[in-house]
Amino acid sequence: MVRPLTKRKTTGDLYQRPAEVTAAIEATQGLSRAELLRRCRVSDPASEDFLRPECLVYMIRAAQGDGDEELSGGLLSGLFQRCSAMLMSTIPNARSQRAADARQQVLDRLADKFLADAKPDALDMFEVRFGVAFRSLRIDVLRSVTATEVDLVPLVEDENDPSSDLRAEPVTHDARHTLARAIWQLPAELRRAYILVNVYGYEIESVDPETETAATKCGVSGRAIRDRLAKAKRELQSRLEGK
Amino acid sequence: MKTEKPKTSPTLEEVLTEFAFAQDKPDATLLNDFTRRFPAYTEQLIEYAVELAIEATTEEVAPTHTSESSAAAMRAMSRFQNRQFELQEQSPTVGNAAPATNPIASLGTTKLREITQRLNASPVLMMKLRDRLIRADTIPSWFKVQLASELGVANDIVDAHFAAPAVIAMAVSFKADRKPQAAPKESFAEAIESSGLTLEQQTVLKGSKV
Repeated sequence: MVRPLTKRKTTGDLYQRPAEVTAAIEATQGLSRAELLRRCRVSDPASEDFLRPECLVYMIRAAQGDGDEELSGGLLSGLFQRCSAMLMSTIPNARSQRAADARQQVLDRLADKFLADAKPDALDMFEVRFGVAFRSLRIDVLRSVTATEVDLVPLVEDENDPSSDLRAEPVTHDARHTLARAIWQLPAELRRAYILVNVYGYEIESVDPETETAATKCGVSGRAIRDRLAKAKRELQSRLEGK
Repeated sequence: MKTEKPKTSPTLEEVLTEFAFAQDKPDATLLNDFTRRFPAYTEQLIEYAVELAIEATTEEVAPTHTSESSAAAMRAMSRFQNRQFELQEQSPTVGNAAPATNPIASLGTTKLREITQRLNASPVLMMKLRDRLIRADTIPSWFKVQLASELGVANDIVDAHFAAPAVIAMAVSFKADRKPQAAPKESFAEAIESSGLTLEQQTVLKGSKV
């Protein structure tokens, strides 16, 4: 039997694991200790031996509950290895002057959730959708790290100029991170206008007062949004060109 | 699934978590819905939606295993173990594999039998309680209070006892490649039904209010 989650939504309903996560947990319950410890090191999702991170979190918590420190420690170590590799991709050195520090902070914050004094439901969301919960953790860290960065160092070898069309998907992984970094470093009001219009697809303004737009979301006029978008574009171009 | 009455004012963390998990890729419809439902958190929701959108674009590549990533993972593990050790030192009865004070194990046979009878329990149920084979969160408060009273110890000694990991019986034999593991913990209700209790005893133990 798979232990139910205890974290609740604002409606009072319990969060539920997706059916495929529950099935994957059930499939691991007959595995031997040695098999679990071997498979937790498999990081290729395409492999038959791959254990979903949601399963790993479940098994680590179960082993901790049973006082099995050897098993919980082995699985935790495997999870950290995977997460650390994920962070090398999502917070590469091109992303921040303090990328290594940011990656370590994310890992440490995840580790803290497994400590005995953590909230009992602190890891429930990691058993629902690990990727989303881990992204939230990363955002918390990047928010503080980015706030303390002082300036940019030009990072893109300009083979494909990513500033030529800011709405287009950047061509390379580095360019994508450079753009993400540059957006993080925009003043909050510019960043907000840029993402609401370009990612969420809000209209700048509307004649219908009931329609939600970037202007209503930001509490300013349509003209102010247009000004912010223009400034955001100029700043991003400047940053991406290393000026 | 039991639904609890929603709280009147959810915390910011609860609202942002719900927003992040509502759908794979947040969109304007979802953001509008949440800002209408939680107007007090409009600013934070918009900012978080912006941050989620930025970060989602960075996740489209495979993990990169390097010596640097391995070293970072080991540092996290080492820090975790140090922190866990510190916590165990501060609170040796919670979350600790070391034996917690076991107020039942130290009882003599006669005393144990008397308490078993007064609790309407059976020797098997007492053994499960002694070895912490019952999940602590399922044991009714009234039962823990009564047990503490019968044992002549403070309530928090009993709470700490049940919060500790299950005991592995010394007689358990095992193959060399597998560490012995305690049996899976049962709920209090399951333990009552599987401990050789009469129907009358079960009724008493199940029927009392928490």
